Amino acid sequence: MMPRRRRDVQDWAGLLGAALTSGLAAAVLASALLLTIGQAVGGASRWTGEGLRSLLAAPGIGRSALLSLTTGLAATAIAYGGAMALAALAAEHSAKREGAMKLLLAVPHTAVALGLAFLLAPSGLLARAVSPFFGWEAPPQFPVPGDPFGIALTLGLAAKELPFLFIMVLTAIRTLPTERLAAQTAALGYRPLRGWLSVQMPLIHKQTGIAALIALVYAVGASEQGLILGPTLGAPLPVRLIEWFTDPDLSARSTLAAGSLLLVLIALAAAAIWEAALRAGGAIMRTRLQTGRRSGFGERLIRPVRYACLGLLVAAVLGLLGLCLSSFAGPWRFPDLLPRSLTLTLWRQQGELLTGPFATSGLLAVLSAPIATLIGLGAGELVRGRALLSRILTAVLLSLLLVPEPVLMFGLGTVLTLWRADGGLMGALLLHLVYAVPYAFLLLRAADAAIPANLERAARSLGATRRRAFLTIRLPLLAPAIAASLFLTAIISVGLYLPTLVGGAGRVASLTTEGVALAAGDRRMAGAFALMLTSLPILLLLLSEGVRRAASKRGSGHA
Amino acid sequence: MIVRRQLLAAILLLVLQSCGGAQKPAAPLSVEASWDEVLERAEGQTVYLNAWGGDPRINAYLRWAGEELSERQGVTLRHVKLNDTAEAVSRILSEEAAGRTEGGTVDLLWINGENFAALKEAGLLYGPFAERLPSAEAIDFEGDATLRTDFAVPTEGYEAPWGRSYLTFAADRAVAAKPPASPDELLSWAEENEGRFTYPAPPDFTGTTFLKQIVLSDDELKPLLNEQPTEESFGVVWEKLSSYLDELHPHLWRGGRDFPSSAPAQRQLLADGEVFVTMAFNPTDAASAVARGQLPETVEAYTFESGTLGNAHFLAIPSNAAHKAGALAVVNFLLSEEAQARKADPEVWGDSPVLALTGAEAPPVPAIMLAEPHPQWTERLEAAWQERYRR
Repeated sequence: MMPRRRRDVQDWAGLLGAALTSGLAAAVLASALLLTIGQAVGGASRWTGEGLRSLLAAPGIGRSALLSLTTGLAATAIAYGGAMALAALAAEHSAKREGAMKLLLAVPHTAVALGLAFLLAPSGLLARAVSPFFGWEAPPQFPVPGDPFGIALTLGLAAKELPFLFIMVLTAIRTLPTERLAAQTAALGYRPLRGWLSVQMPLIHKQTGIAALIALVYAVGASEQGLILGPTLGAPLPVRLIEWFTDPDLSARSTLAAGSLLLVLIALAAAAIWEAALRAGGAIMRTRLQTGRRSGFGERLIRPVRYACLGLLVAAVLGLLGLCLSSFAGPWRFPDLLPRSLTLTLWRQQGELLTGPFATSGLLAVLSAPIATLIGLGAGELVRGRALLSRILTAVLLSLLLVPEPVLMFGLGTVLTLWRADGGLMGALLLHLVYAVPYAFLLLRAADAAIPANLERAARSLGATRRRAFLTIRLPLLAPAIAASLFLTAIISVGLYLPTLVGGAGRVASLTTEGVALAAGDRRMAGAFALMLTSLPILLLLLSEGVRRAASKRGSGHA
Repeated sequence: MIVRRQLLAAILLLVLQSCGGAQKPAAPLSVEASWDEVLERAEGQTVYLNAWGGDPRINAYLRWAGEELSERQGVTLRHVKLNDTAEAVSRILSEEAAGRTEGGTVDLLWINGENFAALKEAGLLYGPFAERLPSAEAIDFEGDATLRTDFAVPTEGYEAPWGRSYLTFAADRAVAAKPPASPDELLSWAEENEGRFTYPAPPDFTGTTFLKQIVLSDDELKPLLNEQPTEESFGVVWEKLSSYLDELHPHLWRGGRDFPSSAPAQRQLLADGEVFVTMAFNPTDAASAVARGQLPETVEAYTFESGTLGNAHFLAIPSNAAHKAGALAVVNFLLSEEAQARKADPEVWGDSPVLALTGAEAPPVPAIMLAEPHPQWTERLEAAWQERYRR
């Protein structure tokens, strides 16, 4: 009798907790969206359509919207395809590559974008490297970065999404019986890559499809990369939103709200196109499989795609290294490939400008990562085994990530102002959690779903309580995912620009907000911030690796 | 060890800061309050000065001011670094929209032109205070009209003049021996040096200033800008300006299809050799970039021959500011002769003072200073430019 009643109590507490979590997240989302819709269509009580009218009248708005759609789709296609291609061959050298990927994942968008701009610009490192062959004394004239087709922006977004998706793919692979699958497909006569494409990739995609969709929506709503790598005129839509956000004319607020709704539509359109393309691809693949052919076109693409992606990653790293080097550079003008001299002047003169933001970013990361991971883990446990609740909570948290960042942030900024909760570390932390919690929840839930249910069932039938089964069976199995969640949420926090800006009312000076404010006009300053933005996540990475080692040691102790 | 202790101190400070948000309720500071009362209330306050943060020299100057203020008056000055003053203006407006009439997040604001006009018109500024400050006694408000008008809008004491500046070009003489100093010269120079001139995209304020400079360099158009724009006068100005720009743009950087986002971004283009000329609303911007090593030593500043556009910049206190007394103490210090002299030092910032300095080195002043037109010109030029060139 006793155990049974206790489970009832747990059930009710679980239901209540799950309902509360879902309700809170839904309230966050609804308040942001409702306020936005309200502002978009006009006054408090009547439909004026002012915002929509001024949005449609905004010069070049069509170009901006189209650019966000195409760059988002292209970048995500490159990154997801690349992540799969790299993972297909990862068995050969996975550990080393994963470490490098984690480093790159850890570098915030701002730094990658600034580095890539320094590499690709007419006066950038690439042009300098080839200038002797062309006899260039002044920089050539080609419109990158900031090209009207968003090529530079696409590359920048892809370079950042690739490590994210690659790590998600690897996390998914860990839950699959890869060796058995490979052996089975080989026994059926498939070459290794063909077998991988036909059987393992669809299984991986089942787990990572959500991550790809999130990356897609992020890319459609990317603001920092758009500012740095996008064109100034005909800028991507999120950059236009920031312009309206900072416009002193109050009527721009309704334009901002209408523009936010447009961004939501663009994201929906992008997601629809993406899903349709994936489904078509899947259908083609199934037909191919049914014909019984043991080889095909797909596996021949894997190696070229892999080399292209590695090239992109190398380019991103080179640009970043060059940028970081520029913070130590004396005169470094076109066409010099390396600085004439090295100096510590900038660090000596501006060093104290950097320590405060470094501490703030670190503090926000160190606070938001464990909070988000705990909430994610707790929420996951609460909805476990309750299919409907689980689906509701997932849908609600997912929709936070499937609303483009600027839309959510500008909407929630209004909410925080109403509550007077902005203007401090607390406001920034709250908005950081809006992103950290869903990522933590989704990552942990995916890992949990992959744990064979019979393990826990066996433990329970041997008399273990639910708690004990969790602590001894699932927690150790979840440990890698928990470490990944801590790391992921921490680096997400370090990289967040708009949430820090809006939640902190501009008073919370983090590396991203200060970096964007100071970096525009001086590459050496940009280099200093890029170096700080890169080194902080690396510190966090070391920290999370420590946690992971400790956790897996504990886990193996129990096994 | 030292680093760790500094980090620890920074973390502690942040935590304390986030906890100490609640303000003790106190009667709002009357505009009539005596200076002694202001100083008494100011002690212990933390003043959030919202100011453009794009120039390390200005940031360093404000850091110095903060150190002095905390030592002398027990006021803590925090510089909220903005990309654009409009960010703070929109914050104040949204606080107003949310019914937050006191305890606002902006205590003090570096401002002029359309931003001031917007806040003043909305009645969201504290004052009049400018001419009641003890430091204001040394400022010649009667003798100098530019201290009481901001882009042709009377300040009426709702902002205090802080400094003056003017549009200055800078060219790399190694590649541009004779840089263009008038609109006509610019056109022929740009044709000879394809792709090596540009200007920040309006509505960036330096870019808009460049447009106004082109208009004010035209003797026929210049008188029209003294008045508020009408449909007719704006039509005349825009037709002439746009036909000039249509001719100029194909010869600019990236064929005039894209522009740098700001003056500092253009300065970096000059440093990279992508363009040969840059511009800034600060006469010592280029010299300081040369001294920092960002620009080559061959870069020299110059202004347009027929005069250059200049204006004053100001400090204003929002009516919902949480720390008005502290903000007044800060303004009073920044207007003192000591603070103004330090600001005028070309090594420090090089911003022209608003009062007569005795014996200190002041930055150069151009021979002919052109006055800012009414802010409505700014708005309309920005809108028309975007309408035509942003498609």
